[in-house]
Amino acid sequence: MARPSLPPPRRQNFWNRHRMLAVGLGIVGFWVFVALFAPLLTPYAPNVPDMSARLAVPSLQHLLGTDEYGRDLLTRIFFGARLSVFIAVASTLAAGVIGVPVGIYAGYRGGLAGEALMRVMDVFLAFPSLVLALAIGAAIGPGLTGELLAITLVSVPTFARQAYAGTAATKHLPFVESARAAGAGAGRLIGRHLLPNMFGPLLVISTLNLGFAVLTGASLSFIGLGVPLPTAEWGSMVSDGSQYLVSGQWWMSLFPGLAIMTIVFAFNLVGDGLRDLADPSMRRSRSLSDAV
Amino acid sequence: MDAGLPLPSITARPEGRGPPILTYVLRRILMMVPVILGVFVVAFLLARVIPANPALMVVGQQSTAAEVHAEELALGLNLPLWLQMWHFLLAALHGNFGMSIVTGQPVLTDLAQRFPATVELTVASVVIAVAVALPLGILSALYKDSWIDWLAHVIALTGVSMPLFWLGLLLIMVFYSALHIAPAPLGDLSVLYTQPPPITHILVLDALLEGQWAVFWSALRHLILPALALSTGTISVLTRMLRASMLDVMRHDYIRTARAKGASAWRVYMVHTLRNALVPVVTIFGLQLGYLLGGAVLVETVFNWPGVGSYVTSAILASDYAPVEVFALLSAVLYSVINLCVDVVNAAIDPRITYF
Repeated sequence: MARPSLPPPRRQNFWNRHRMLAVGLGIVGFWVFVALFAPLLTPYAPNVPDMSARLAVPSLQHLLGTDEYGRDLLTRIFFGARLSVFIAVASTLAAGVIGVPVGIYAGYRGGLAGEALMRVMDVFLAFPSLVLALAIGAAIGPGLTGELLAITLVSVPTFARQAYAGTAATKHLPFVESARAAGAGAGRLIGRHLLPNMFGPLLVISTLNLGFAVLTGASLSFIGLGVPLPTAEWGSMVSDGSQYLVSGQWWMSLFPGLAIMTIVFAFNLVGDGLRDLADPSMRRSRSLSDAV
Repeated sequence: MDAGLPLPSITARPEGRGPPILTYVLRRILMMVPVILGVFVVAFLLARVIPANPALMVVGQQSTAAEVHAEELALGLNLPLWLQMWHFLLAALHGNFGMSIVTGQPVLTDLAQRFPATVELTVASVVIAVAVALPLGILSALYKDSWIDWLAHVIALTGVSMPLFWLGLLLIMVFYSALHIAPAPLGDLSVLYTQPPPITHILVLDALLEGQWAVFWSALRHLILPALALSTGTISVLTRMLRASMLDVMRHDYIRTARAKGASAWRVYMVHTLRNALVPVVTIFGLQLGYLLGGAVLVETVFNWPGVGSYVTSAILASDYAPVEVFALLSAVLYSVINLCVDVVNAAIDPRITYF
């Protein structure tokens, strides 16, 4: 007797269901690869002028053209990727390392000190983020230190708030209470119960913050608060190229900006994708306001 | 990111209970005071971080040690830090925010002169953003998961991922260098025209009010590209918020009821859904202002727009810190006040919000 057959279960591939995440991870992977292996990927040096090749149009020799000193643009974009990825990762890590403990302390212990810490975070949030980053960058002066410090300080409150909200939401849940009743100390409660439960949202915030850090870093560098010349940095490359826009050397601004856009776009895709993974009921809407 | 004050919670409130809205407003203003004080402290401390000696900056590199010392005394740099901070606060409360080294004018005067141009740019960008985001957000909610929705999502994601300064340069590249449609990115008016006598100080409006059509047209043409560049982030955020909010509202029973009683699709979507969906969008709108203030610095720099943003950039490049400090301080204050207003308006129009 033939059994009535059910339609075959629709087994959707994970990557098919999360196409945005896959595309985002692919682009991020590309840039990380470029950043790691920049010297191996190009025959040119990023900072060596070659006056015979000044302002060359994109060709087979210089795929993306050259700049006003004859330096290969693709090479400089590759080396710029190192700086951008480094700034994004370092400032986001630093912001997490500072912000998360602050948030957990304030959420777990509370009290006057916790309250005061969160009010300090509120003060930083009262500034529009780019304005604060510019003010910090300008106070410290151009250079990597100022740029890293500016982006980190602007990002800390985001992490602190998330950790604070996560701690406050979980610390009275039954499984935490029971762990406490079983004699777990504060360290164990935080390390084994609170932190793992916050991991998803924190990962999402970190990813989106990577994109924010690249954009903010590029903006600082565009204004003139980035790493000093001749180091290749995407923001200052766009700024250099802008002087040659009207005379027809469009590639000098176009390509570094495209690099900034693709990597920020990819971080946003990954952030949105992770958010959907962590909580499918949460729609993608909030991520955009966080990213800007 | 909001100003960090707790949003009113949305819960059902029994009729006639709960404190009146005035109490809520007063509470919010009181809670804003420490934040604003904190903003002052941060701005003050930032100005003390600068490696350069401010006194030396004022008197110049060629001056003698005695002159520098005299200027240090005049600026109060020998006083203890907390006393300096107190003087800074007192002076600020009297509207004295220090001098710009570059222009030689009080910073507040400079900022006030340049503020209308920034308002003009920002308002224009908001107008563009609403004109684009409203239809885009509505369509992507109504045709969820269709190609329109997908396109809107890609536009929104691209919009937040693009560096504003780069987008501005792209627009110049295409519309000025290549197509010769747009005017040169050199400010808000062609050099052929003189500024009309100020009425509102908003150039486009003044030209219009005085019937100077040629000036109006020139000002409008100069305004479009920078406003477009500045609007992209807002377009993205508004589109996505409106979509999410529309979808949220469409799930409610009263929408089904409206449909069941035979209301037209237009009425169901544009009246019942959209009106309710706009409430959270208005909140996001206030938060967008901070983003626009930061973006204005970049966009104005690219287009040589005579607003506060390009003023701040040129101050940064000249190591003139007072304008940067005051700009950061005043934008934080403005940002907090706007968000307060948005919350109050929301609390006033939404009866479900309790004032705690």
